[in-house]
Amino acid sequence: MIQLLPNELHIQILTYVITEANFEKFCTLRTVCKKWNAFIPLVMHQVVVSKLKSGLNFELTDCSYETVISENLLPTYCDSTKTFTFIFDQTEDINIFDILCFNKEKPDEYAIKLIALEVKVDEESNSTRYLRLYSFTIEAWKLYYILDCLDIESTPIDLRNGFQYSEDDDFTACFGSPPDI
Amino acid sequence: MAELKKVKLTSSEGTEFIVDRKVAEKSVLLKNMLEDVGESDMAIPLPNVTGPILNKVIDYCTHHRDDPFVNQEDDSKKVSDDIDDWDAEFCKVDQGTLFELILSANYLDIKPLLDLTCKTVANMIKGKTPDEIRKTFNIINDFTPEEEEHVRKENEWCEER
Repeated sequence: MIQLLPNELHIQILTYVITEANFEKFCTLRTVCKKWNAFIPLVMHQVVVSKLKSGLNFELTDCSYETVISENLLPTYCDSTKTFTFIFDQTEDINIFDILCFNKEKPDEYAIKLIALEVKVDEESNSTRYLRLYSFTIEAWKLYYILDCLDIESTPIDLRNGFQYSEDDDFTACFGSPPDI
Repeated sequence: MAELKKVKLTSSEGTEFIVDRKVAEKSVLLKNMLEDVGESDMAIPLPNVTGPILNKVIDYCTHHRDDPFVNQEDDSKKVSDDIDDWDAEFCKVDQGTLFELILSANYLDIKPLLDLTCKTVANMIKGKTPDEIRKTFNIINDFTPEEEEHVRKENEWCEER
């Protein structure tokens, strides 16, 4: 009879379920049936938005440059690609050669997709390529995984392959609550 | 002491129930109707609610008649285990009745009852595997093997560990 409930009530029930299960456990409920497969990502998206509304910011750090923090904007969610996109307040250019190591062997396994490449030409006609971070896009499931880790006070270092931003890399991504101002 | 005002409600089968206006007004739908209609002896028809379910709803509203009004926009954290003993006992009913209560609470716009019944169903889901959930609620697995495999593949991140 649960299948006869209107969609909004179905979703309301699932919203209660997710408050006491992490994303990882909750996501497995997608295999119950097609209807749940459609509802579960919706509920997860709602929870991500509410967590981010509560002050969670994204911080991108390059060792040689200033830390870049996401603007206080909610990410946009694209259902067809199942990704979230964050906007960054980037004022400094980052020389592309400094961060090539970030995008090395298996770029698809990295959570972050960098956007926008700029070419600058100096007075002597020498051109240098720079990256400017306007935004980054992250696959939804990776964001859920990160949020689960934050809930258990884990660190991004503990994340599995495709998430490992070690201290040895020049470029790291950090996730956490901003300091109190 | 002023006499308590009474309201007549009629279930879908035509059974008449007489309740205190204060009890009826736990339903936002009835409260608005009563305010619009003013003083009247006419019974209010509730074609979407059967007699036995209306009886249960009245039991709930009578028990909670003095509870403060819950703001519809209240966005406090949803927790499903904050159910008191009386409410837990109230929800010990068969699944059919429980879902009828959800539908009636939604129709009559009684937010605390809707929350309570939804929480009860959520508690029946928590800790169960997809297969156990299908059995509990008699849900048919309508995926083709290919579709199910596709979802499992997308879910590998949470099933590998």
